[in-house]
Amino acid sequence: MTRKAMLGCGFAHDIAEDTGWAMVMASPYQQGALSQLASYLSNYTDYHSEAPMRPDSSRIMLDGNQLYLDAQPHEMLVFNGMICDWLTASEGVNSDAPAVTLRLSYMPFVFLGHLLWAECQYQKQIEIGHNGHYFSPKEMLEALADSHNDRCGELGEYRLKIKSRAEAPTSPKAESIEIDETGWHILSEFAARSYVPESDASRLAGAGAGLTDND
Amino acid sequence: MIETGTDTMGHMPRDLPEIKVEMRPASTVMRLSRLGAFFPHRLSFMRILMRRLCAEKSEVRITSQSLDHNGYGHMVLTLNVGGMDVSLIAFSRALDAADRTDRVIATKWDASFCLFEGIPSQQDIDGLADHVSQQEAGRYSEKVLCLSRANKSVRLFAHVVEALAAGKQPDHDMLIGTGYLMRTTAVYGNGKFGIADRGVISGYEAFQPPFQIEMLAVFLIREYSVLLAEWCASETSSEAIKLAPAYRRYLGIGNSTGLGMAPFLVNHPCLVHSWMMVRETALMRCRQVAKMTAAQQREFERLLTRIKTHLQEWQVEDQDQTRRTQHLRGEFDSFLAGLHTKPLAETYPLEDIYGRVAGCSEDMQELMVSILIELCADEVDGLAHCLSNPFEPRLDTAMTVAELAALIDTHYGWALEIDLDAAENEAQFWYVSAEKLEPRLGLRFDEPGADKEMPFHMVRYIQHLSAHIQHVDGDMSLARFMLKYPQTRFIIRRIQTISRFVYGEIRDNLVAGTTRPIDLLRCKLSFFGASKFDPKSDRWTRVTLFQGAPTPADIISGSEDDWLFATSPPPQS
Repeated sequence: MTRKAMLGCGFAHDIAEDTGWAMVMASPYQQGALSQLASYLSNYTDYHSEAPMRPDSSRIMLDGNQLYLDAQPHEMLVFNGMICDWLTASEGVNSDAPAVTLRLSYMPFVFLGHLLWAECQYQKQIEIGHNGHYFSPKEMLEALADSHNDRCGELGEYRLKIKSRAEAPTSPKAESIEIDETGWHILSEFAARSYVPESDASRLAGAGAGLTDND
Repeated sequence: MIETGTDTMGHMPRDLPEIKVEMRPASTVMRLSRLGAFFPHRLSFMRILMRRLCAEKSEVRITSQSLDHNGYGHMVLTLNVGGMDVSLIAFSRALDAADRTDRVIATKWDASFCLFEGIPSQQDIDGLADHVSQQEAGRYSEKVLCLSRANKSVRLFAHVVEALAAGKQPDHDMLIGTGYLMRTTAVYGNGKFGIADRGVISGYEAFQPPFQIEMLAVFLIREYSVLLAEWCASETSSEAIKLAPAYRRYLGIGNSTGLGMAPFLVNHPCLVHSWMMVRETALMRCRQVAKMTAAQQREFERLLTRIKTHLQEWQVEDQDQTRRTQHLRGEFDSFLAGLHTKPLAETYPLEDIYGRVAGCSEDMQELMVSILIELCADEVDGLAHCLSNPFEPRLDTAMTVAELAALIDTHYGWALEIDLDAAENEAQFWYVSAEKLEPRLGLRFDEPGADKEMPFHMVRYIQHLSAHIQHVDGDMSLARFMLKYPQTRFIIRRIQTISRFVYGEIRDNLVAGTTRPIDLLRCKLSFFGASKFDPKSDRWTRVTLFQGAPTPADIISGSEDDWLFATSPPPQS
């Protein structure tokens, strides 16, 4: 459903797929992740274009291997994958390794899900530095779940680095995911936009067509 | 997982010269026309399940039943697999002829089913009745492993009940002609509608190979269909008899399969690679067998006789399939004649067999693949554990553009050769239907919706990527390249994935006007274990599942998994 909603909203296929995984990763630690995604998508209700939505590279500043981005939390939907790509291009922690500095009013659950998925796929650990403290994506998801401080509103700086880890992270077992009714409605509406009305020719050629079913 | 390459497993006595057999490359195997020529084989999912059931002598028991004289009500069939009880809960009800449709849009069926972990209590059964009867609209817990529904073959079901009630076996030709009492219209697994997710199911050792839960559900539905007919007969007459064992064994479960199945082969490149790799590894191991044992020779002769009959019995209305089957019969007869004029080589006889059909049609070559694999249980059965694949596509962003270009040349050269200025080369597009939420094919230049097409137009993506690559330094990392060209991210990940899982990509244009989706369906159905494909168009086919497979009674009495290319039994009385 997440993937379809992202597609219906206008995001490119790779971004939609990754967001689906991010939800799988984030939801066990943060039941509000899916509702947050739905609320982000509602920012794109008026998006209409034949071109899939992709990150605008001009928003990104590069300084050597350091990537800088200022964004609204909901805008991160389109940048999540690109930031993970940049981080995972490194082989270890050293001064030249790619790193990311984000300026955000708060850290979105969806992005933390992306980081968890990247950790799992690349068997690496991501470190998030914020206000002099260092967190893993999982720790930050759990901390946000405890404090419910995802709407603090103040611009903050988050520094992300990747490093090797001995302990292999695994994807969590799929569990039921909670979402409020409004969020579900938003996701369903966007998902429906990814569908195409079936043509008569297609209907007449579908499985089971043209047979007597009472034979 | 198995690596691509050559295999020199120890099937070669020391006094024989070593032969080096190479696996067939993906450029040969992963063509649509060849995939559309696949036959079931001993690593097909139904066969893997059946070997387990036979090895464990799993007994099917009726653990709950409440049916009226029409057979309406519920029945629960339970069996133990791998130390775990699993139950099929079947609900049947009256259905107006006007409501009986095999289309996926139907909301009522003759019977609806769920596969349940454990033995359900009466409370479980009562609680599931309404939900299972609504299928997609119901709500389920992780105790439900699979959902399905089926409609009766009305005429055959009624005839079988009538005949058995009269103390006679059904008409031979009618029973053989239809081949099933019920046909499923959907089998849902893997977490759909809240049922147990793949992650839950893969925790059970018995169900680790692909689609074992779904195959088990269909196997039990097959048994249920016969039990239901026998119940209805016994309620009609005290003189009713049971269906003859040979007929029981021949009856399978019908199924109509359409476009809904096709995208699976595109959307799961890592898994599809494993399926193909296992099959190709099995073939390679067979070709390396240095000597045939006497038992293998007898099995080979027995199989050839059975297949000749099977091919004669494979009669369909579709003209293209009929032409192909006729040609295949001719090639098969020529092969048999060749065995008389030139006996098989004493050393590496299976390689000799394979070589003899190298110049034949893809149908004949793939038929022979199934035969060779059938002869080499010791060499191939262990490969069943390699059919799953835990990996997901991922990007290697440290790779350089030049390295990516080399991968394109190696794995996607075919896509660069297709002329997209010719409209027929992208005449179709795949989409998800608003009415049924199922994949469909549309005409790009005649119908709306191409802006929402599913990402199956690999040819276009590869050609666009190649054009962008020309403009950058080959030493640039892909992390930087994708900042500049974010639209290439999807296909770059795909290319890198295919470079690791080489059998994961179909090396043909999936949106050309001439593309035949039925080739994709046949490939997947062959891995399920279906045979006697009965295409009704180039977009859907009827098949019968478990036709000729051991029944629960056969399994208890020690029957073996020996039913490849099943043939019809003689008339029973």
